[in-house]
Amino acid sequence: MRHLARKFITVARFIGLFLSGMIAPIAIADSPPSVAQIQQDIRQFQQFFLARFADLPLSAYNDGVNGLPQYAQRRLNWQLLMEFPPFESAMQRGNARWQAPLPSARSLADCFVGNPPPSAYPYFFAGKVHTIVGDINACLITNGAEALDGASGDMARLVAAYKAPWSGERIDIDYRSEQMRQLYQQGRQYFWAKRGQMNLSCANCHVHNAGNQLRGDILSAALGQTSGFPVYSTAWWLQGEPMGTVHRRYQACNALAQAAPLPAQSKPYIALEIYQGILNSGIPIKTPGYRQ
Amino acid sequence: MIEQVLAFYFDTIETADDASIVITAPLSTAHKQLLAFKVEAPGAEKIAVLFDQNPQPLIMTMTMAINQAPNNHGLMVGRARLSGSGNLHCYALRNGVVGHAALKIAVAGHWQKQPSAGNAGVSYQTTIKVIKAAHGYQVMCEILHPMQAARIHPLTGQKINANYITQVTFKVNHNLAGELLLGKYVAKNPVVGINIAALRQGDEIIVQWQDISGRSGRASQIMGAT
Repeated sequence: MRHLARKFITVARFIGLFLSGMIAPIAIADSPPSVAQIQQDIRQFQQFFLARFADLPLSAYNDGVNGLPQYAQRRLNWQLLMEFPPFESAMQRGNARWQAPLPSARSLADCFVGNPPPSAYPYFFAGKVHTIVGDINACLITNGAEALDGASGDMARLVAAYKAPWSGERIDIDYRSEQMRQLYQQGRQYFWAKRGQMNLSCANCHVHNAGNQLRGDILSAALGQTSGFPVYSTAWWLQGEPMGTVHRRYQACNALAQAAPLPAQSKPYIALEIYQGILNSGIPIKTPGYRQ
Repeated sequence: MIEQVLAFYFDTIETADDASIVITAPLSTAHKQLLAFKVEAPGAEKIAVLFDQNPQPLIMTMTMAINQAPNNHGLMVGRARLSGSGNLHCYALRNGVVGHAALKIAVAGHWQKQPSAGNAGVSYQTTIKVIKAAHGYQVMCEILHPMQAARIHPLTGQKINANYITQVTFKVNHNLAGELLLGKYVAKNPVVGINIAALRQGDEIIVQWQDISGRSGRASQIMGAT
C-alpha cells in the first residue's frame, strides 16, 4: 500500500512538473518587455559572461572568439595576421565604392550624412526600423542603382566602410520605443528557441557552451558577437568571398544546426540583430573583425 | 625529405640545436586555417622553414644580402598551409653552422577539400607595408595570388596546373636586401616579409616576385618620415 502511495506521489510530481513546464512559456506575455526589464536582461547577460571569463573585461568582447582565454593557443595566429590584415584590400574596395558617385551623382557617403553613428544602429524612426544594410539599399535604389543582397560580400564591404571610422564607439541602441521592444522580444525568442535537425538554439552553443570546444573549433561567446561585424573569415575566404555581414553569419549558423537559413534582412534576423545589439550595450565596435 | 632540402639549400645535413632561434606561431590551429608564422634568427645569413608532415616539407627559405651583414637581424614572416599535426622546423645558417629549432603544432579538425575558384578574377596586386620593429624595419608584402599546387579538381576531375610564386626579392634603392624562395605550401594571397636593418627617409623599397608559370610582378614604396 505504502509502495503504491509513493508511486502515486511520484507520478503526481511528474504531472506537476510537466504542467509547470507547459504553463511557463504561456506565462511569458506577448506584450513587449519594459525598459527596466531590458536593462535587467542586459545586466544579467553581461554578468553571466563576465563571471564565466573572469579575466576578460567587457570591452575585450569585440574580438569574438579571438579574445577568449580558451583560444589562447591559437591567438598568436590572429595577432600575427593583424600585422598585415588580410582584409586591407577588401577595405580599399569598400571605401572606394562608398565614396564613388551613384547614377544620380550622389554617393553613399552623401546619403549617410546626418544618420546616427553605426553604434546606434538598428534604430526606429518614422514608422520603421532602420538597419545599416537597409539604409544602404534604400540609398542605392533612390539614386538609381540596384539593391544588393544583405549577405553578399559587396554589402559587407560597404557596411565595413561605414563602420570602420567609428571603431571604438560604444554600442548604444535606443530601445525605448514600443516597436524596438517588440522586436527585442522577438529576437530574444529566436535566440533561445531550439530549431533545426540538431535541435539547437543559439544559446546552446554561445551561452551554455561558450568557450568549449566543438570538434576543431572553440565556440564564441554570444556577448559582443555583433560588435566586430562585418568580418573577414578564413572559412569564407576558402569559399571564395571572405567578407560577410552578421546576417550571413546567422545563415551559416542556421545551416550548421541543420535549420533552413532565412534570407538576409528578414524580420527574424533583424529582430535577432536588435536583441544581440542591445545586449552588447557598452561594448566598443571594432570593424572589420577577423574570425577563423 | 628534410635532408634533401638541407643538402640543396645549406650544402650540409649536419645541424645543431640553437636556442637563439625564435619561432612565433600558434601551438594549435584548425585545418581550414592558414598558419601565420614569424621566425627570428639574429645574424643568420640563410633561414629555411619546413613542416615535417606536409608531403613536401619546404615552406619558405630566405637569403639575406651581404650588405645587411653588420646589423643583420634575420627575420622571416609568412603564412603556411599545414596538412596535419607536426613540427615546424626552422634552420638558420650562421658562421658556417646550421642551427635548428622546432615548434610542435597541433592541427584540429578534418581536412576539407575546397573547390578552388581558380585563376579567374585574380588581380595579382602587390602591396608593401613597413612596420618599425625592434631591430630595424619589418618590411612585408601581400601578393594577391592563387598559389595553386598541381592537382585534380575535387568536383570536376579536371587537372589544375601549378601556379605558385617561387621567388620574392626585396630591394632597397635597387640594392638587394633579401631573397625568399617559396614552396607550394605557402597559403593563397601570401604575405611574406623580412627585416631590413637600416632604412632612411626617401629610400625606395622594391618588391619583385615571379611565379612558376612565368608571371611576375612588382611594387615599390618610398620610405616616408619615421
